[in-house]
Amino acid sequence: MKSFSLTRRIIATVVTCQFLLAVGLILVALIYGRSELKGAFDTALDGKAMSALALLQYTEPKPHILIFDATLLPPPSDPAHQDQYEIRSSDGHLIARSSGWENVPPIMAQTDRRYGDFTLAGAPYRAIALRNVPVLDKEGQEDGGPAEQVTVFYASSLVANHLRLSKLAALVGATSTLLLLVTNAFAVWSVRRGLAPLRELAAQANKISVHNWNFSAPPGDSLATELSPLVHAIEAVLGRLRESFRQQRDFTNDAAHELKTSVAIVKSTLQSLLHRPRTQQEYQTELEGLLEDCWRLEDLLGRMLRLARIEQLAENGVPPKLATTELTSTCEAAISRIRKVAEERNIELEFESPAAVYMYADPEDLELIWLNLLENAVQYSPEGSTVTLRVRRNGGAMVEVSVVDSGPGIPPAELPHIFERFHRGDPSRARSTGGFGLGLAICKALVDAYNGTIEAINLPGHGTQMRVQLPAESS
Amino acid sequence: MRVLVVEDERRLSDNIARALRESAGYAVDVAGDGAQGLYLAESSAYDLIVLDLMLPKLDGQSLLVRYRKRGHETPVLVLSARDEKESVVKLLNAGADDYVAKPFDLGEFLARAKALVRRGAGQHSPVISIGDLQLDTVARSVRRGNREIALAPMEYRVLEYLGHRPRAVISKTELLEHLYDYNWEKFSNVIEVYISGLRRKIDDSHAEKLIHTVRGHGYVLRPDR
Repeated sequence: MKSFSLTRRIIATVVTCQFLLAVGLILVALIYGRSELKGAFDTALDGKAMSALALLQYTEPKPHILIFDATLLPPPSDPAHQDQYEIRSSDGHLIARSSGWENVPPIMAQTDRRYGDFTLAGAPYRAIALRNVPVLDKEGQEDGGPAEQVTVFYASSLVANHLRLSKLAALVGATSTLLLLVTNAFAVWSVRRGLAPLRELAAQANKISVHNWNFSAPPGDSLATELSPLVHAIEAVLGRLRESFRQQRDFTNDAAHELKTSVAIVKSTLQSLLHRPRTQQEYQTELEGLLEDCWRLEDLLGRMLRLARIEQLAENGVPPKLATTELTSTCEAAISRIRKVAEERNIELEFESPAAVYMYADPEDLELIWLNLLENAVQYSPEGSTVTLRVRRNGGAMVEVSVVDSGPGIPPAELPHIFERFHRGDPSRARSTGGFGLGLAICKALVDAYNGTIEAINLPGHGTQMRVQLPAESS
Repeated sequence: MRVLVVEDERRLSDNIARALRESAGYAVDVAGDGAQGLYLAESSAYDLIVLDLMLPKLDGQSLLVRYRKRGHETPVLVLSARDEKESVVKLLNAGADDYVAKPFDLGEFLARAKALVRRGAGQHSPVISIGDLQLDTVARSVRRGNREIALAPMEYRVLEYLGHRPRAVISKTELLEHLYDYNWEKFSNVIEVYISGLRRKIDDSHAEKLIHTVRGHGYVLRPDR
């Protein structure tokens, strides 16, 4: 998985957004500023042209000729780029013009044009044309006839205007950059701070170990809402891990207890035998006992190893040698193996089964399940009673196998624990019958490996039904 | 001395009982589960209780806690397959006096059992001296002065019990209770027989008598004043 930094991502997003925002703002400000400045320039240009018009005078006395008094023009605001003008009478006769006008390109020739832009000596200029304006202020109008009409062209340099625009741009740009820096610094700080609960959570999670299962999420008020699913997930995982560790530890402890007890028996028997000379009879009895102890130990080891193997299979999800197996024949095999023990206790074995049932399984595993269940049933049933093994197709894809005994039943308090490893309802009784509390655990592990279910049901009145359901092939 | 063994493993309790009888000369009762163990421990007089932890019906630790809560002071020696430090600490704190981890050595077990019986009676030395009488509880031998005295096993047990509480008056019933297992009532007449045997072997050839009868109360082992 490619790793990435959440902080960097968020900061990058924030910075990009702010940058775009700033660029947009600068653009808008410049466009608006430019049009405002242009409007103001045009108004000023209009005013200047009007004032140039006001400088036209009629000569006295008659005939009244229009003259232009350039000396009254206001001093140029920018001596490098002086204003330019030309005044013509309506018949095209030149009345006055500034010294630089002859270099002005004839852009204002079209009669309908009011404004025009041109370049003069490398500087941008804007010109206005006031066409056919009457020159008032002619003394004695009544005798001089109507006022003459003139056309005034007036051009001013745009340099100052452009300078102002670039100053505006610089101001807006600088302000935006400064704000961008400040807000971005704030964003970085705030994102880092916002992600602090995550780091704290990680620090807490990091403290978890096999020896320390405590996971204390940071207190509620400093925990972000977004993190609570994570906290719940960690807690849930931790709970499951802890439980499985506990089971593992219990298993080790129980196994150690069983093994140590068995060794303690052998050792104390041998030491006791060696303590003083015994009779031939005593030696015989004790040695037979020791041999039995060895068998028990062997049996215990075999069961523990088998359980470990089955659980590993279930974990890895690799079923053992799978083939289509006929289920009822495995039941018959188990019954024939338990028959001798049952006869010793005068217990009758009954087998109820439909036609053949096929399922995908290792026949040895199935036989082991039935054998363990039958062993239990025979052990706990009173002498002279009946133990029934019943196979039934219950409609769907499952086959149900039940072992029913008429024993004392299982105390309700023990029902949830009977499939735990080394669980023994009554240890002294189980031991006297040779059990270790592993048989049902083996059954459960096997049934689990085959995706089946196993449950113990106390029958009303007397007896117990151990019910196994396994997926079968459709018949 | 009478010992209660609470152990569900028959073969193990048999071995322990046999060792205690043969090597220490103690009377032994066996309880096969915790409930029976607690009942016997409370209803009879014991000088030591040997307690397994994994027991049916009532586990060893609970038995121990209940037993101590009710004020009983008999020493308890715990047997268990768990020998992690914390469980040892827990047991000792629950009122156990000593601890042997399975699989234990029978010799070590017996030594610890004897030591607990001794300390339970207030004796610290394995050799008890009363006047010029010396009672070696390990070798189970008796000397008076320089003379080795050979005693019958039951005579030794009576003397050992009296010797563990020198100068204390001990009733016949107490002797019976502590020298026999739960069938002790059957033996009610034999104590006088053992006492007279002990007198003959220990006191007869000495001017200073050590075994005294306190009429109506019992017997006491002390130097003659």
